[in-house]
Amino acid sequence: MKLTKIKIYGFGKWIDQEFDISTDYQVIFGQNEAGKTTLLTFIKSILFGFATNRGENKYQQYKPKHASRYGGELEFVDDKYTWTVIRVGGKSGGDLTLFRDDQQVPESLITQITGGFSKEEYENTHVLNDESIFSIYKMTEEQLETEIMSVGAVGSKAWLATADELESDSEKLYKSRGKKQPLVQALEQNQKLLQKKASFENQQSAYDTVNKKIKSIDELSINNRNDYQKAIKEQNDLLNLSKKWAKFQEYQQLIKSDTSLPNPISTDDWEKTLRLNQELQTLNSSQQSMGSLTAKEQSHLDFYRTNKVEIDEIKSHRNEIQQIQFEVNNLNQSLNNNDNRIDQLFTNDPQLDENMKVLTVEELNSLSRPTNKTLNTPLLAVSAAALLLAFFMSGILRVAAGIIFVISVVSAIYQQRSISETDISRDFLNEKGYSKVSLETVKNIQPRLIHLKQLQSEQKSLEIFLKKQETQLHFWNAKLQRLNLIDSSDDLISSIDRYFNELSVIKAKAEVINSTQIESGVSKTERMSDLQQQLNSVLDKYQVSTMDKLSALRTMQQDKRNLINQIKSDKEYLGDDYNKLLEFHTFEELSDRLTMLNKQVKDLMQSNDQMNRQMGTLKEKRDQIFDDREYRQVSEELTQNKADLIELYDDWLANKLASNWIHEMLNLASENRYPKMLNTAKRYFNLLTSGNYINIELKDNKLKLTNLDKTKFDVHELSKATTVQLYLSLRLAFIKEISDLVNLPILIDDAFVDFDSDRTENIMELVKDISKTNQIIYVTARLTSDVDNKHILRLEEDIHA
Amino acid sequence: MKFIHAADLHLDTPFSSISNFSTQLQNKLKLSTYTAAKKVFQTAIDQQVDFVILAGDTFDNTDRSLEAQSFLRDEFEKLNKYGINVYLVYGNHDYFRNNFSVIKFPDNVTVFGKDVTTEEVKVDGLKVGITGFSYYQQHVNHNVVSTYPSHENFDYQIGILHAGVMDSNYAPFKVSDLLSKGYDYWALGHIHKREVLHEFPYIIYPGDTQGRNLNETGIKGFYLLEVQNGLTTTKFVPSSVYIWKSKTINAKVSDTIDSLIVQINDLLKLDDVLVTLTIDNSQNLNGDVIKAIDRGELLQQFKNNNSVLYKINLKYNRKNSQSEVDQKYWDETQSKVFDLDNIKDLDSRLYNNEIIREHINQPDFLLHIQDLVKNTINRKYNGE
Repeated sequence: MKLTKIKIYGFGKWIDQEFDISTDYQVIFGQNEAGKTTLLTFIKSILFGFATNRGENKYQQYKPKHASRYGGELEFVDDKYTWTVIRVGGKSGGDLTLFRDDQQVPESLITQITGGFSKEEYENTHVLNDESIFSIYKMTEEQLETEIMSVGAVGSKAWLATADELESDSEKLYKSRGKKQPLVQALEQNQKLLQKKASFENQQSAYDTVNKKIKSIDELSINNRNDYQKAIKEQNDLLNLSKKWAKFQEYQQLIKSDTSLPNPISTDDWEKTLRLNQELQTLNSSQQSMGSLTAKEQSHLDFYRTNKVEIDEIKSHRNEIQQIQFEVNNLNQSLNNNDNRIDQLFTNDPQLDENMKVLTVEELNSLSRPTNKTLNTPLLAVSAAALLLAFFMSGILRVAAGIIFVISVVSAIYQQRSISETDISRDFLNEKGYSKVSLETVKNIQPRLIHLKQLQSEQKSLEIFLKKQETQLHFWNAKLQRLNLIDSSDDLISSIDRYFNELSVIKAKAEVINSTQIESGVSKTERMSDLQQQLNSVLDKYQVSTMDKLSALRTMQQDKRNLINQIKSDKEYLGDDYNKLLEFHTFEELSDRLTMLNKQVKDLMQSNDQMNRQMGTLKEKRDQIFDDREYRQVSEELTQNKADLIELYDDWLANKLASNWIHEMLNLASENRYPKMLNTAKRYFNLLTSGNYINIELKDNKLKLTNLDKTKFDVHELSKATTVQLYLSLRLAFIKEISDLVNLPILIDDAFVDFDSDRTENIMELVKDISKTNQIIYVTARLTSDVDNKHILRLEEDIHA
Repeated sequence: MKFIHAADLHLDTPFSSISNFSTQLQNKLKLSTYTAAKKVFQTAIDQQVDFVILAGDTFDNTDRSLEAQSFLRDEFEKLNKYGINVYLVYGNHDYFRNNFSVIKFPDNVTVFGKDVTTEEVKVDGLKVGITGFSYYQQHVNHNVVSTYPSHENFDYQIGILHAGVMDSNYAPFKVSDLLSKGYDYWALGHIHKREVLHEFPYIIYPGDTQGRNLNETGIKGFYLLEVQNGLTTTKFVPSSVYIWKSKTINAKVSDTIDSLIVQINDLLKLDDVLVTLTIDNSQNLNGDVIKAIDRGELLQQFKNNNSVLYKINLKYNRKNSQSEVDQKYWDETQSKVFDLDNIKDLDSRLYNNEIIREHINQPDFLLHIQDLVKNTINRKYNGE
């Protein structure tokens, strides 16, 4: 494709100009500012588009200041057609119109002329100007060598620059020994996050482990609580035993005494002897004066006879009444015992309240959430110890212990209240009387509360029974009152006994008087001896000689009966506790055991607290395991880190591989094109160096230059000027090499201003040589003699405005 | 008989690159795998199905799945109240390890064990056999399908299989292997892209129930199957809360940030869509526009929409005017530059990282990186 005509409508200083161009080589001569460079820019602009109004390019626009039209035409010829390329001002690069001969064709066919080159590529290959030559001078040896070795590709210089930028971009992302690059940091963060993730326990097994621990502590805690209940019960029992110790000792003494009752005097015999004795005395006294009943005795007897039925009823119920009385005493005793036990419960547990009700299982379950509230164990222990001391000490110690007890209990209650204030309110607790106590206390107090409720119900039934018995006793009492049988002793039985003794004496006397009056025939003496005989037989029966001795015997027997009753009542009082008390030899033993138990209770309570705390911690931990917000955070960070890593890596790799690819591509292109290029370049180089260098060889990817003396040089051993000549030779050889793909005019713009005249002539020789295959447009301000005039276009100052 | 076939619920999946979104949107995204799962179970109740099949990867990660486990237990208990059974296998993500299932599922749930077994259930007077197995390690390299029994004495037999077609890490199989068993339905899991591999009998990958990253595009869901007179009919039921989509706009030389915003606004008119946007022919864009996009100004613009602009890819192409003089040298050097072993050897520190190694070993890695390199070259050489 040869450029044959340039037609300018308006471009820079050029307006409505037309130039014919030689198809082999065209020298355009003009002084500085003659518009030579503008002409070359015009060619590029019509072919590839006007420069856009951006960046540095805008100086390449050359919009005419005085013409109405911007743009122009270029005419090319090839083997078959004449092509006309018309470009005028318009959007982005201008409006292109293309004619093949006289036929307008689609603008895409422009590639038939440009060979698919971009403006940059064209400039990089076919355009040589002082700028591109100077840039070669500025290069380091290494850069120059790379540049030379990659001349074999289109735009290799720009590609190499791109590759360098890509390489540096990749190093901004990552360096294998770097510290601050983002990919390095992402890798480090990845390590940190993985370590952090690994530091988390496996959630499942952690959950399992905690659950197992909770279960085992729960079991331990149940056992502990049972032990505690047992200890508390034993403590109560021992306190109870210690109260009974005095009675126990009395009982043990009593049972040692002789309680045998040989030949007890029967009531009949006793009454009979009384009667006989009375009669004897009466007869005796009547021997002096026949007696008669005194008025008092008579009224006594009369009263008896009048109320015989009632009085006899009393007599027949005498033992029953005695039994009732005994029962009443016993019941009172039992009530008293129970009262003591209840008091003991309240003393042991100051938080126990009369108004508290036992909780149901559901209510209890609803409480089984751990709380951190605990009883003030040490304080309670102090109070318990003080209480014990108060029981068993005497004098000042007892008073002091009492005071300590009161203080400790009061402060324990106070503390408990202040702790409890923070408790979660549960309605049923208030209803059931648990206001102002902690949940833990509510739970712990349950067994004692149950005990209390049992005692209270026992108390109630005892009271009912007592009332019943007392009613009966009242009934008899009233009866006796009414009959006026009660004497000053107030004791029913002794009153009854005394009354009937008196009555039997009066009756006997009356009988004697009666019999004397009725049996007047029987002599008094006979009667007396008969009575004496009867009396003696009874006395004999009890092996005593006199009535007084029988009386003494009876008194003794009565005392023994009382003793037996006492033993019986003691035994009843001691009850089952007796056997327990027997286990202790001394009171000290018992009190030692109690002290030990107090310690045990305290220990158990402490370990209970400890387990509750442990349980709380474990349950909290279990919640934490379930909650795992921290882990989630790490997991999310890892997901993000993974995305970052991959993106950064891809970026890094893309830059790296892009740079590699460019180098590989350039190397391969050079490798393929160099052998042919070198043949051409050898000739050009020889020309440019005035025959100084005769050969260029490629060995191991390095160029070797041979001079006239057959000395071989490496590229870096050449002088700078020679290196530039080598570069030019290769550039031009490359253009020739690709001319079957791209055949555009070579534009040379004063590229050799620093060359001396010899060399400039060499250049002209070169231009002529190249023009055999490629059209060359050579713009210069210096003319050499050997150029044919028909190849010269002289730009005069006055040609344009 | 009616049943549901779902797979790859991936409960608890974390999402990446969402920290710039509103808290509300972030939370909705984080919960999306749960929300999609709820949709599966609610549909089971609404449609009064007889059972639900979960074909593996129900959990994204079994190291810490208590929340997911207790969520499932609650959902399964709901199903139990309606008499709906659940048949579940573990997949490669939730392969059974460390006794991870510490929360007990109710009695209506059958979890298949390590070896292939068959459960029998009576539905509408039909004797239905359900055959399957669970992963007990991350990779199952042998052809497990060969140990599935041939059609047994059932009126309807279903195979549950978490596997990839000819994928040697995940119980490799061929469709013909499955057909040879003579089953009436194959409930597959593992592949997140919905696909019906065969009809009559149906062999179906339902896909995951919620897209989890920008590659899992489109509506996600599960299958509702109805069997009448021995004939199986299928119905896809969507469950995804958010739908990932990839969209492309073509950049023109005249485009500005404002003109791009107008075009993107049109794309985001749908609700609850996460869009990955490719701006094609970015070489046409003005350098200032590119810089603004690189600074995230476009993303910022749409971060609080109902539909979200998740990511922007700039795609650079060759300029039309670029010569092809050297094209053959680009082509001839391509295989040397994109050599997987060479890439692995580029830097040992990078290749030693598990995430990067895994990424490099993805089957489509080379194609992906080639695109990226071409884009990078085009951007560098033409765009900047």
